[in-house]
Amino acid sequence: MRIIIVGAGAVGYHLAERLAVEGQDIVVVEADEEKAAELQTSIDCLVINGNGASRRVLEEAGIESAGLLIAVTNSDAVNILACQAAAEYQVPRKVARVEDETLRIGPGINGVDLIIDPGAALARELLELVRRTGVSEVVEFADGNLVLLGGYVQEDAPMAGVTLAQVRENLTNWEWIVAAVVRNGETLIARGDTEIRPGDHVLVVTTGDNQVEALALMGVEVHEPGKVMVMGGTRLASLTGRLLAEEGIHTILIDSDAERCRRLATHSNRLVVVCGDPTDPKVLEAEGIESVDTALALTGWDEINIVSCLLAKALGVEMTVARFHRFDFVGLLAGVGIDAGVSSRLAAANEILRFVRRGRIRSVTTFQDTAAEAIEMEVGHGSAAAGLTLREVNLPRSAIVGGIIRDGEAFIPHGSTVVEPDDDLILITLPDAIAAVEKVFG
Amino acid sequence: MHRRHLVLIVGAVVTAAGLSMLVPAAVALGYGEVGDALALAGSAGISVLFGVLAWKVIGRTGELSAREGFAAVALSWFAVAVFGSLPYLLSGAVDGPTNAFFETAAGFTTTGSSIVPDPAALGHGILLWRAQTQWLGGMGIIVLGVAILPLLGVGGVELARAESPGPTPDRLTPRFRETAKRLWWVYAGFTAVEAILLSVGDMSVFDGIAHSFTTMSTGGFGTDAGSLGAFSAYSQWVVIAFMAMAGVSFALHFRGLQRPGEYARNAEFRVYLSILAIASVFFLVGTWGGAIATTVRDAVFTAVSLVTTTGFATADFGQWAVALQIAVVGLMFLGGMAGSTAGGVKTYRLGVLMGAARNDLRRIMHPRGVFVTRLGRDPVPDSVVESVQSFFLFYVALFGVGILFLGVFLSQAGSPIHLSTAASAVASALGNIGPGLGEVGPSGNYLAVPAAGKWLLSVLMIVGRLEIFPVLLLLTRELWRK
Repeated sequence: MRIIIVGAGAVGYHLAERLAVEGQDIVVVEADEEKAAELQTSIDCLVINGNGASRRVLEEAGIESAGLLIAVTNSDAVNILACQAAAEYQVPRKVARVEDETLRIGPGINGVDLIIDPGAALARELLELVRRTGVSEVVEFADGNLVLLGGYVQEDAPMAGVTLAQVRENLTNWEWIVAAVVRNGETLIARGDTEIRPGDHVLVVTTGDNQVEALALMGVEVHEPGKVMVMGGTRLASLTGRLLAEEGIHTILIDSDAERCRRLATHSNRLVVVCGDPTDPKVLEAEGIESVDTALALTGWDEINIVSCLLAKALGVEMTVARFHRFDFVGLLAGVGIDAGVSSRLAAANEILRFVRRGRIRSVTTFQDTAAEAIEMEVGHGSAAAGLTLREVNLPRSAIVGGIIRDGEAFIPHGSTVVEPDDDLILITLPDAIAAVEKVFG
Repeated sequence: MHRRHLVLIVGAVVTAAGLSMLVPAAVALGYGEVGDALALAGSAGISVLFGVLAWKVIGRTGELSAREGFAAVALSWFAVAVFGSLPYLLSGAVDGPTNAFFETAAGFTTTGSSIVPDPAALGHGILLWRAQTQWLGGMGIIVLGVAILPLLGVGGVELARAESPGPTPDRLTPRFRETAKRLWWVYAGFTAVEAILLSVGDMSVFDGIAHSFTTMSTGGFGTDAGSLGAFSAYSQWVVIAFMAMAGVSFALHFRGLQRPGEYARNAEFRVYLSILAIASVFFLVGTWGGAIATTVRDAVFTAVSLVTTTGFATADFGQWAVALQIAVVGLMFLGGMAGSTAGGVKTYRLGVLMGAARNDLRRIMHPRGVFVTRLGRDPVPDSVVESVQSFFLFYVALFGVGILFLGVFLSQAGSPIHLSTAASAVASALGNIGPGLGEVGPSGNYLAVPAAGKWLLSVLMIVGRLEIFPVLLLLTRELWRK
């Protein structure tokens, strides 16, 4: 399928990269000449330099044969205009990034099928993260009967320093499966011989009733946050702070710009806005950093976010989360004084991929520090895998079945579980295996 | 400072007030009170003569600056109080210029404190003029001027700003003149409905109209010495309902009549209702005993009458327990919503003051915190917070200085009036309520106050009605510099 991406900012770049790996035909339209040139050398896609809202440029990008247009420039107006132009060329699906909330009021925007807001999406993810201090990811399937949990393996965890096969031998009384391990920014789809080390970011699938046991396996204890500190006055920081405060979580937002602080304080009543340098220990101590459960560093500079997190950790904060622009940092630095790294481009990708993968694939979840996705897909009647056990199915090594929902009942499969048509499979997979997975089960 | 521009405004307002005297003159004639009719018509003639002279001969048209607007409003109010007292003087209904000015000021400012021992002894024409001054002063003579006279033009907003109760007038329409018209229509509409409801009950049509004039303006002049106590329970409940409505912003009424949800969404409205409810329950508990229906009605009536600064009475709260009397004086400070016809400090300002005080407390906990004062969810700009705080300071200072001076005047005249009575009289004048405690309570009147005291209270009424700043501005030297 031909996919046109308008705008090669953080979100556009990441989407282009991700979809190109899956083998889609990507055309990126970017107004900035330098950015366009840079993109051309790093991603296997066609780059067109020009205004994405202009018909001539879109025609050059092959709009007549496009199956999807994703407009993610940082201008709401350009994004909406691009979608409306695409609508005239009968492009079946159009996605626009719109950050102005007031534009979303009403029945939607003419010509736009999906409106995304990466900042707001990430703010919601951060809320989920903060709600369960110590847990990095929570995804529920089948009405919560199956849960995918992410966490960082602690030094004294039962699973630290042993292979998965050994853990399996000792634990047979409840169902669990380790789906993926993220270590030093690389994702390994779990096998029996995979050894778990302290500091690994592990994704575990378990039943809804066994969440606490699954987290205990990683040495993680979950509790409600009492006090959260948000560092920075960016849009993301403001959205997150407001969301947390409205949830009734005591939230303090620190930013060094007095004027911005005023504006933020005007926007939200329950959020406590403090004007000061988030990397100044005196400021943090004056606001009672020692009693803070989670610190979110969401300024616009990676360096400040890293320093604030390290500082917060040193001053006794239990969990620190940093927002990174430099994508490599997300995987590399997580676990080193920073418990989780986040990036708004990933949150945006999540929303868009769910939309792109319609058909057999029911839902898609991406994770902050790994390229792996959790997808829910239906096994087709003509599938080559139907009637075979999972061991017999020729699944790529970079994909694993973490759960099966059959006739409304959810369970964790074993190698001997037989796949049946109409089963809903929960798969954890890397992007390069998506095409193969669709072929096997589709 | 363009003095001739000011004179034009003052002249126009005096002319309008003079013309409005023709209505009670006609009514007096209808009741066969020829002497009063002539007095009213003569007053109208004198007012129009001076008004037109100032307006057409001395006055010059021109744009007004904000401070000129404030000054014009303050001067107009003093002028109207002077010319408005002519009917009382010419008809002989009131003795001497001091008493007449006091009665007129109490009328236009919707205070309703009176030096007339028995209003029932006055003629119908004079009684109507008395009620009419309150009705005109309630929504504002200048706002009315803006609504019907095109001559006030663009500067009209500045003028209305000086006269409207509350920090900033609500704009309902792009053109302020249209807004002023709509506010007056809502005001007139409510008044008409109340007049009909009262006339259906035990009041005569004349009493119904006179009382609806003084209810909707939160004025409180009655036609009987017993105030509302002289009428049936039905009439009292109707007046309670309309007093409560008069204490609500008329801009909110305008929106709420189209979309009732607007009322519930308004934070100030919710605070206003809670104040009414708390005050009612407080009085009910304090006066518990005797017939339940009467106790409940008296408690609610007194609470609503005081909070809305109307000043009608069914019970003599001057005879209540001391704690309740203290509460009575305390309630005189509250007032209704901004943009209503009520006086006092106003719910809006109280909310802002509380919010600002709460933020000061939070600032101790978060020394570097940035806090925005809010009313409900709506942020209040710092400039408004500051002006509210200085308003409150001036208000309290005037209260203190007022008691001091009234005390001096009373002791000089050898008057037996007690200090607590003096305090209640000052609070009552400043908040445009009407009755105070003791001798000036619901069953008494202000006749016994020495002349100097009457002038002091009259000025305090106008200062309170115009919310201090316009009058204070007249005293600054900078305003008068060429």
